[in-house]
Amino acid sequence: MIRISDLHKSFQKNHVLRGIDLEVRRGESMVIIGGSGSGKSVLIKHMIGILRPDAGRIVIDGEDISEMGEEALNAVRKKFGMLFQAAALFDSLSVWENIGFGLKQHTRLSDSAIRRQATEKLAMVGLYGVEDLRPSQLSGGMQKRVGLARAIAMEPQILLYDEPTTGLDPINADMINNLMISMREKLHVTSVAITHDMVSAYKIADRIAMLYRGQILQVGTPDDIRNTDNPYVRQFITGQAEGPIAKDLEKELMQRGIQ
Amino acid sequence: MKLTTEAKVGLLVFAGILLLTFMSFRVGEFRMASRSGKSVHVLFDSAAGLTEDASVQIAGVEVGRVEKIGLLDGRADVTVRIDTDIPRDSQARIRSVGLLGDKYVELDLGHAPQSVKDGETLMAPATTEDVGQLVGKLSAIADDLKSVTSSLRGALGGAEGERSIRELLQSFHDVTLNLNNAIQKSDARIARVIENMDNLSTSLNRTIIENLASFQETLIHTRSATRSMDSIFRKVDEGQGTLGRLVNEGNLSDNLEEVLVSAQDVLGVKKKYNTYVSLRGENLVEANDTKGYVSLKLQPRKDKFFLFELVSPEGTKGDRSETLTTRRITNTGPGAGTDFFPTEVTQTVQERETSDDMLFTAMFGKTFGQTSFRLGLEESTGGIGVDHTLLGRRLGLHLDLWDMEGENSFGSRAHAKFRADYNFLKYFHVNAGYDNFLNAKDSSLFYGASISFQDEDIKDLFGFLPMR
Amino acid sequence: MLTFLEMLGSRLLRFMEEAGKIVQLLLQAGRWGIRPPYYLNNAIKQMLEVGVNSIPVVLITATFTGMVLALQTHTGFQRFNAESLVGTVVSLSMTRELGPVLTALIVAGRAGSAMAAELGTMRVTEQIDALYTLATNPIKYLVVPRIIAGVVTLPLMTVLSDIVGIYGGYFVSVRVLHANPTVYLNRTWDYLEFSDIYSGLLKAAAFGLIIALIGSYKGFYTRGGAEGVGKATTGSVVISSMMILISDYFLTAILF
Repeated sequence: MIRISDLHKSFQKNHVLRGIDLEVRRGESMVIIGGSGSGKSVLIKHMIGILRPDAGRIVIDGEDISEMGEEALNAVRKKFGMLFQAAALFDSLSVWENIGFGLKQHTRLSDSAIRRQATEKLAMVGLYGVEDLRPSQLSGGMQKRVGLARAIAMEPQILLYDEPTTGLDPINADMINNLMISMREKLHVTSVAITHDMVSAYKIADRIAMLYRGQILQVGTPDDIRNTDNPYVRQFITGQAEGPIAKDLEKELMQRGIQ
Repeated sequence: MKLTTEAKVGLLVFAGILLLTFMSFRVGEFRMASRSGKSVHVLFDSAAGLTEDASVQIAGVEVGRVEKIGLLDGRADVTVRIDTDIPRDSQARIRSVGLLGDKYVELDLGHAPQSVKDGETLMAPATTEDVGQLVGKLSAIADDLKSVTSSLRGALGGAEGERSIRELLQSFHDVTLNLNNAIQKSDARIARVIENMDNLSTSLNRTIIENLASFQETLIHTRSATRSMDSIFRKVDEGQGTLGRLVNEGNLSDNLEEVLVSAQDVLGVKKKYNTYVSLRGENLVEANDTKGYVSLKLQPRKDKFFLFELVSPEGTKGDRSETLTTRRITNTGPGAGTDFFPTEVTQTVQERETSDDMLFTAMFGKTFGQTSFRLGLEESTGGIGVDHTLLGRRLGLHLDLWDMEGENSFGSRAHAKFRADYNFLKYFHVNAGYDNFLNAKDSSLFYGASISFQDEDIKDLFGFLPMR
Repeated sequence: MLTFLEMLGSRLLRFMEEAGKIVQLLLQAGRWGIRPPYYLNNAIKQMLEVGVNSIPVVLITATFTGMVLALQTHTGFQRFNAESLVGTVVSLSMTRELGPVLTALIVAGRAGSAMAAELGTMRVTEQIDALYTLATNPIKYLVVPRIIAGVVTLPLMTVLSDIVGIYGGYFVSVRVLHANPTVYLNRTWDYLEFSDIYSGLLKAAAFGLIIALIGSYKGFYTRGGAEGVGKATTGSVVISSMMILISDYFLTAILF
């Protein structure tokens, strides 16, 4: 479904992605884990064409989007739904308009039909009667649910989750995890999530990929990851302060200090 | 009632467009754009300070606006749009109002019974005395001279006026003879000469202007003008002192210049127009002949000039004036058409013609850098010429081509002449060249000398000739 | 010394880069703007923001500018008895110069900054990325309507401020300085040409483009969270005000 090969991306002097190779199979739930600044967000934004690669290929459903024109890319994007870290709801629009945004842009449905659809999607994420509220009137968890409702509004084949549980209390976070699982079951979507929340990762993932310094260290089932030999992956999943990741960081800080 | 977003924006757009329309109709320009009335042309010598959209008034009441200001033959062509009927002989003048001197066009109504029609041109009387008028007068001189030449040309062309013109040219010849005498052995105060010249040109001008309509009359008047010129020079002839002495004592030119400078001081004029006057003699070696030229060059602009020359006739010495004339005689008498009496006979006659006519040159010139091109009447026939200056304008090369049919010369080809002219001292030039080189029989090397004043002071004198 | 040159060089480079990005944004807006669908509602919403909501402050500014112009020119012209030309001066100054420029400066401060803040917030909260994921081009959806609104409403606002400025001057001249009202109005309109008005409006349209483009650019490329939004906002006001005044000179040189 998604095939990424030898993907490179730099921002000025900062080489963020250094040759990513990753394949996400149809219908599976892939979770990419990694620390802050490992390049997770950059990677997921490449999948939907918000960012363009410096080198490498991204093939979605057999179509190479790495050098695709904006118009053609928009057609590919309709296969996607994406939930952002802070939901990224449009402040200027009401909840139902947010959810119906894609429908409004890309279909000829009437406003009332769109509104009905929005209500339906809201019900799927467990929200009722918030259609006419503004995003700023909702709590963080509710915003995420509305964001999810917006992501599934166009009935996508692939759902991308950017840190879906970050910034939520454990109960809300788990509710989001459950929603993600039910989406997969109900809609049969392929999903890619990035997170550093290992609880969430184990719960929703078919496979887990560990991203470190712009490279994939290991890809495997949750069990593979749990029993990893890789010291970096081990330090990350166990959440230890001491380990090879910390040493690398120290080394880097030392070098910067010298300079 | 609460306004929707669309309604508010709509109101803004509507109000903006409404106010813009309002402003458009209030501004001066747009109001007059209603193309009513008639548009009339007025030619002014100068439209200085007048702007488009300026007011047009009769007795202080606005009747229209100035629509366009253009240029027509060096004059200002002002198009005005007026709402009322005005007599055809109405006159327009530019006047100013207010402290800041806004200019407007004032119409002085005439008395003609017909009204002026759309697109017609109104008379503009002489404008008030100002600097610009000098220029106007000078260009008027050029115009007058042009009309003189055209009437002369007409005279030459007309079969009937042939005799009169011959007489006229004979008088001219006499004049130049007297001039010659005057220069050689007579004297007069230069100021008096100038004064007489002044009178002469006045009468000449008046004559021509008043009588252009009647061709015959023009000729008579011109002849009398020439006669008066004759008498002027006779007076010079009889005067006291000698011009020769002036020349001997120091230099003629300096004295002349002094007079001119003092004249300038008296008149207090400023320069505007370049005038060149020169006297030139050429000795044609092979043809054993001499030629004299009096030339006047008026240069209103740097790249434009008018050249007027009086040329002494050829063949005053020697007997080179023989010519073969071919005539066709048409026989229409009894028995015509038979072998014995053919209808057409070609007869060749050897005639002895003394071409003692004064020749006249009037050319228009245009200058590009160091090269000028001339076109017009040259030695009384159509001609063209090229001038080129070198060595800081001290050396002049001239190539002329005239008499394209070869009628006036003894050959049958056009008269061509090359002349080099070197200015070796202040006003003095020497020249040499090859005359009529296209006609081998009559070609001749020549040399000569000339005095010329490219004195800008002369033009002030001309500026004050009362031409109108 | 070398570091100074380096700094100068990198400053220059950054300036060039920024100028290039602005032009690129304009070109993209042009490219996207001509393709359907057209977000007319967004444009109208922006017109409300840029135009209607700025009217009160524009009108007040223009009225008082006209009034003070009349007062000042009267004082000057009185010294050589040309008081009758006050109306001409006020009308010419308002239509050719002050109407467009003051309106533009006010709108730049009011609406241009709002654009930068709004788009900046959308950028840092990933709303702009969200637009991409919803297969909607944000330049087309956000920037084009703002540019249209700027180009359309600025001339309209300028007409309003021209008129109220002229009548503000009229009020002061007639009521306070006791000028002859007929003479004043004649002098106001007779010397004014249509070209004075429309060249002022052309200028206003250009200013509208500048305001919308700079505001959008600053917002669109905001980085660094809430602080970045603040910087973008002030930056947009400073840059667009400067560009308005600089381009004013060149436009005047070309148009008049």
